[in-house]
Amino acid sequence: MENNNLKAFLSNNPVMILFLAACPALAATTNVVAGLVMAAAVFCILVLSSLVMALLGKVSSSYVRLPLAVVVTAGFASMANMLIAAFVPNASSMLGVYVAVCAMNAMIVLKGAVASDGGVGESLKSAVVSGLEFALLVVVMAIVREVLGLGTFAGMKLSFMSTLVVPVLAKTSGSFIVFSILLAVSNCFKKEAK
Amino acid sequence: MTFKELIAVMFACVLANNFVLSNFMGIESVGSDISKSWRSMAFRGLYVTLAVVASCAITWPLDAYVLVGAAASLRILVFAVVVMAVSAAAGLLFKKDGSSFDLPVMLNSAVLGACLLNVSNGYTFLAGLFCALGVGLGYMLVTFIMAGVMGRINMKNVPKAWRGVPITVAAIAIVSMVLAAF
Repeated sequence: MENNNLKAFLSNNPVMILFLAACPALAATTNVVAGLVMAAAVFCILVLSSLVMALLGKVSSSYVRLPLAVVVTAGFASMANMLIAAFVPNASSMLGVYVAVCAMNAMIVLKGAVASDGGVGESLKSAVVSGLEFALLVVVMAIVREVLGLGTFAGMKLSFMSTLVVPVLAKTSGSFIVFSILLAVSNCFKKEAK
Repeated sequence: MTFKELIAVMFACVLANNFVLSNFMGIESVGSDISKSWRSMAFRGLYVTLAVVASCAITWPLDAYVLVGAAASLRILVFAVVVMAVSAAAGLLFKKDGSSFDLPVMLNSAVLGACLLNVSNGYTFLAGLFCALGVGLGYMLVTFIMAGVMGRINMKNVPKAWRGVPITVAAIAIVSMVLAAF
């Protein structure tokens, strides 16, 4: 796909950018700590891969940009996986393979592929904005799901939530429900901004 | 493992432990474009099934015999390259039929996720292949179900904030509740 088509694909529907990162967002939000670690990991992978692709943009042809973006993203995903396993082993056991799967995450790879076309500053700004939006989404989802679904916060039991727990929110279908509500809220803000 | 156990693993990956609805892998490619024809949906499902089975068939022996010792730290990078190459090759195969796939379908996290989970769960080669087949068939099942569900939703009746991706995800939530009964 040409870079202009990629840019159009990513800019025509801003909410779609968040949806392309659905896999790590849905999987890591059963616990606030796991959500924070995943948000940090995706932010770092996104920003670093966009930076490297922006720097490589001048020397890479359009045919190799997407495969190169996958390789660069996979490299940073490997590093993130190893660092999380070394320094945050509790979060690593909760996240499982989902940090590694970010290597083929559509949002990160497509952002990297598009970054090779623009300047370093512009690509970094776009990556930082998307990363922060994703981080906010994941943290809010994690807080809502853990507090309302399990009655805990970062593993600590909340006594006032013992009778207010909604167990479905801690399950997989609950993650989709919370995600859809947050996407609708995001849609509202983006429509108002337009 | 006996043949019956392998079939049970495959059906578990299709229904009870559906990769898309239970593990969230491949959800972005299911939800990115559901408005296409049934023929297009079938080709998309076949493409993902072929990609995941071929990727698992290549990555399992690579992990068992090549990526040992210090080289194991390159697992994610090597698997991502293999998945990308297999997905591109499978895409070329289907291009001859006139099918083309959007990038979220080609950058399918379910393929890489299946390869990594086969290895981390310690599956044998045959069990991994049957699991991969189940992943592909489960993906196809969810695609068809979502096409039917979204075809019945009239976007004019949906509030503006919910049109597009949010209502799709809400529909996926209801479908996941149904499949959770298995």
